[in-house]
Amino acid sequence: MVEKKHGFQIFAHVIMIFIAFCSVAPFILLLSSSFTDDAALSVYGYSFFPPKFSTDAYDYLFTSSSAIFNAYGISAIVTVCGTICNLTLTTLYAYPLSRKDLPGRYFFAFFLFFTMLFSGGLVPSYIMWTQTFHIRNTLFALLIPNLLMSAFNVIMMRTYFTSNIPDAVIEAARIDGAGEFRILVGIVLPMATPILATLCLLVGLAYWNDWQNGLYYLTDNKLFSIQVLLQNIQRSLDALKQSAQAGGSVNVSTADLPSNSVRMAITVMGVLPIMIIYPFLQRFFVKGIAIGAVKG
Amino acid sequence: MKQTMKRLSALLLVAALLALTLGACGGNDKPASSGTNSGGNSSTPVSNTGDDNNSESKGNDGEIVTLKVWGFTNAAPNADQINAVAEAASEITRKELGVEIEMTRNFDPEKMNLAMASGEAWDLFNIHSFPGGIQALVTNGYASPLDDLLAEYGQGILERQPEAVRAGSTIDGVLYAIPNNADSARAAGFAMNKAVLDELGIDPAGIKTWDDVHDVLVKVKEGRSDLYPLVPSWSNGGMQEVIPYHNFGAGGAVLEDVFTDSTEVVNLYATDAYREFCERMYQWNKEGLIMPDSTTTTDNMLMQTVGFADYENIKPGKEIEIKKAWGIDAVLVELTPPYMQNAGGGWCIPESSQHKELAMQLWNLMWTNEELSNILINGVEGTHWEWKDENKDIIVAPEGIDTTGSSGYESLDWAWPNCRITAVWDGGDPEQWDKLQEFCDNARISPANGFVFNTTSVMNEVTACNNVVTKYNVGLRWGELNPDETIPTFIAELEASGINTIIEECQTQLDAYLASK
Amino acid sequence: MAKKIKKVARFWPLYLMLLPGTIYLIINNYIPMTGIVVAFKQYNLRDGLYFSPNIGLKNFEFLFRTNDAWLITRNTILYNLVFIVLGAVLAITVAIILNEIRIKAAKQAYQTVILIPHLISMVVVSYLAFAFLSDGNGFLNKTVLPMFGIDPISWYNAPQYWPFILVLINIWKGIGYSCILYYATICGIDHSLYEAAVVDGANRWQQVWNITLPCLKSTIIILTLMNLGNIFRSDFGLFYQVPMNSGPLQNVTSTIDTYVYRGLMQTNNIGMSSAAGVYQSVVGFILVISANLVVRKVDESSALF
Repeated sequence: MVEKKHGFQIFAHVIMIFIAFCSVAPFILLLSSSFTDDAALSVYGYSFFPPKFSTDAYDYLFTSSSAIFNAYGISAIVTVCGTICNLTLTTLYAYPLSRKDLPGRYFFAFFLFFTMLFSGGLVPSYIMWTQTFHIRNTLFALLIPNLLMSAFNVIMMRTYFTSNIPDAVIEAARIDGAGEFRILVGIVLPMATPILATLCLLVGLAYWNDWQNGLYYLTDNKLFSIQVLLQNIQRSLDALKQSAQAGGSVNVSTADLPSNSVRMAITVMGVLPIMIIYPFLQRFFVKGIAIGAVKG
Repeated sequence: MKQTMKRLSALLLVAALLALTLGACGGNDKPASSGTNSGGNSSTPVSNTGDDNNSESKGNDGEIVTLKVWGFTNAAPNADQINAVAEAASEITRKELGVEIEMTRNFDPEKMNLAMASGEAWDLFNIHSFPGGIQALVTNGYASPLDDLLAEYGQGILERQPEAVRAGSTIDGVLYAIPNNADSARAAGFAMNKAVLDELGIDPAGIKTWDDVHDVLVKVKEGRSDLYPLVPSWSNGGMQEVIPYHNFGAGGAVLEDVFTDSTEVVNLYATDAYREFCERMYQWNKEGLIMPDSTTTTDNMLMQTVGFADYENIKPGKEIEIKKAWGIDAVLVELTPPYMQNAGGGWCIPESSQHKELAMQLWNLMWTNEELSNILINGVEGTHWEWKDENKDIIVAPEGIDTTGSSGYESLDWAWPNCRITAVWDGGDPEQWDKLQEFCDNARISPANGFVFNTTSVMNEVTACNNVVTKYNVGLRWGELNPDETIPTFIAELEASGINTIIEECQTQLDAYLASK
Repeated sequence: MAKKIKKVARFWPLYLMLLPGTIYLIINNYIPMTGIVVAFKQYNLRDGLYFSPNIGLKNFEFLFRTNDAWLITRNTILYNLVFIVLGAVLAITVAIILNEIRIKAAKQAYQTVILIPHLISMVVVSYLAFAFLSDGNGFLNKTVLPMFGIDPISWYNAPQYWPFILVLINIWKGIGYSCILYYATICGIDHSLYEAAVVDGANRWQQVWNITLPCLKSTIIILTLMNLGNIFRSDFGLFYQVPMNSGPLQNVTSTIDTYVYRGLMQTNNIGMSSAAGVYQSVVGFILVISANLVVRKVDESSALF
């Protein structure tokens, strides 16, 4: 019996190591390319060890914009605030949907799901946000459009509630005289830490990685989040290189500007903070308070 | 079922409510309502004395009008630098026109599209790389008609620009955009690395024909095995066009050769010129003269590293551009003589502008005022550049300031209305603007110049043909596909997708245009 | 009637909870959603999105009046079906295996690492794929294939391999994300269930089959339903950028989205691109509604609505 268990553990590790390798190897390739001399990239291609080590890409990122640290700060603020607001909205919407006795819950579920399928496109949203709500060049531009609540997350959370939290627990609390908000905060949420942690991660990632809101609604560099800033550098660098060839004269010399290595460096700079923070979040991926304890 | 019906009706109710709310908001989406808009097209300017200008520019409450200018840039728009430049430019415009300018510069097609589609009140808008070009600007109603404004306030432009250049921005007899005073013509051919030519002892003067080029490439392949003789001009098989056809921008409908007087619309991909080109490239590819991966490479600067030659646009001053872009000395081999081609650059006055007349005056000033043009293109004196010497015709970077990287104010001179009245950067040819002028004046003008194909009625065919073209064109052009086998399939698929309908429609419109001229 | 109102009124705190989300959905989604009308219009700015002239279904024609209509529809649906089925099976397997691992540090490390591909943008993925597949410098042609004595393959000109490559990349990129969704549910399963099973002498496989999978059922159904809604859509980056827009591959990489992009890129027709989106939404909508009806018949608590 013990041996058999051991065998399974080894099997599990082998599988996971294989998957982990598949995930990490390309990232190492990326990391190595970001430290490769740009000219060497076009001669030798991408490789796992820099054929010609160079920090040009990072130098370029840090000199081309003094605002990088400011942008990390903006990203951190937006991610934290956004995640808190989003999780609040999500929980508040998901919990009633999970209550089988709530009249009209199907309507609200449908109302929610419908937004996943149909969208009016960017233009009407842009008109509304800029002309009615005037969010251009404010932090709200990074926080509110599209990211504040996603139907996907609400539905995931509702599903977790319905399948992992027995009705009996809620019923028992109600008989004890607890109000709906008390039940949600005192009983349901403590039992839902795995999904809260998961959604916290997913929402946090969505905020951290978003650059489109910044692209559409921001022109003020001081408000750029790190992804907006990096995207801006990337896009303009590409365009600068292209225009230099497409027949435009530019009053800067593009000959020494790195290009492909910068693209890689940009990804590294966006991904690294997540890799550092994520392990801390994982403490919450443990089971919530034992259901038996609540019942008792 | 009953339940579903109930839910549906509830949903309909919500939808109806929303529609009502929107009815109210709808006004927002109609920035160009008749009231604010009549200034532009129907305005018969009453009197044009200086006083009149001032009275308009001061607005109702005596405040100075701020004109919003949307410039084109390829570099990271650094808001502080742009504001500084706008500030310096305003000094001049305040003096000359009594207006101030506010500037944004952008390079993102999506953002340009949003700015136009949402009806933001821009007064001057750079249309370079706007998705769909002038045609989309007009069919979507973004650009306002310019004829009256130009006649009234654009004397400086009229004096400096031949009418033929503007013809390409005229749709159904109405002018909607004005191209910049930059390179309105192009020649085409190859750029070759001069150092390699010297090393192999090849005399650049002897390279005149396709066969000469071929011989050079073969010698490079033998002599410099570390280089690819021919590389793409930019990533994913980028190639500057060398076949001098007149493109109508619709799936492949072209005039075969702008150097003849023929006005017969044909299918580019069925022409002899195209076939010969593909056959040549296929042959070169088989001989190993073309970089492998040329259609898929992600690299934009192959000439700097592994390439010897690429296809290039050619114009006076091109060598310096290449030197700046790749840091190499280049020899240019011209195979296609210069012909006029509007690359789609230029400016328009958006329909949503509240100050069309002032915008036109500002535009005219950009064309005529050397100081203003210089500020917009090169930045603020002392901060971004300074005069090299007393002559004040050559400028250099201010001491201690590094103009590589994006710390300064970068701009593309051709993206502004008139770069030919600005100073030349040190290292450039002091006579470069005169030479460019001469080059453009002597360029061949296509017999279809001024005709813009309205594709509205053949949109389905155009979409289908565009998809067929992306399937074969790049592969054929880089010699990866065998023309003998592929071109017939290519043509057959194009015909099945309706290329002939497009050509027919285009021919009808072109004939009508030519007859009306 | 009064009774009904009273019944509803009892739930007022729950409705209050729904209120902020509802308001956000109305503002962020439903108001801009009315812009869909432009799919039926010949758009021009002067009349605006809502008042441009109606042209009926003309904007939709280009999607069907092409010889490729069948090809792009087939590609889109088949790829999505494979992604849905294979993605779910693999993600669940990995989530279960991850849950079984005892060493805490290793578990956390795996969990962190499998998320990396999700964090890399598709453009960069296309560069990495190129590093493996390019003719001149690619790993496969330069290192791997010679080891087995196989001749180099011109990957970007060889459509037969691309269905596998695209599926592989999609799974690689997506598995971490869906894995943690399933993993969260597994974490939430009452441990006393497993303890009871062990007492009853159930082996590990039986535990998975009889406890874990039934507990995951709702999550699996919901995720699949949501994916069905997007069956006519495709990840533009995956199908356009990763194959480097290579012409010879177009027969196996063309989807509805890439077709629309290639076709409309040069024309900027707001009505037509909106029409394509509406078409995709409507088909997804019909599919989800019907699938949901079936689910409700079988297992009401798992249904979407």
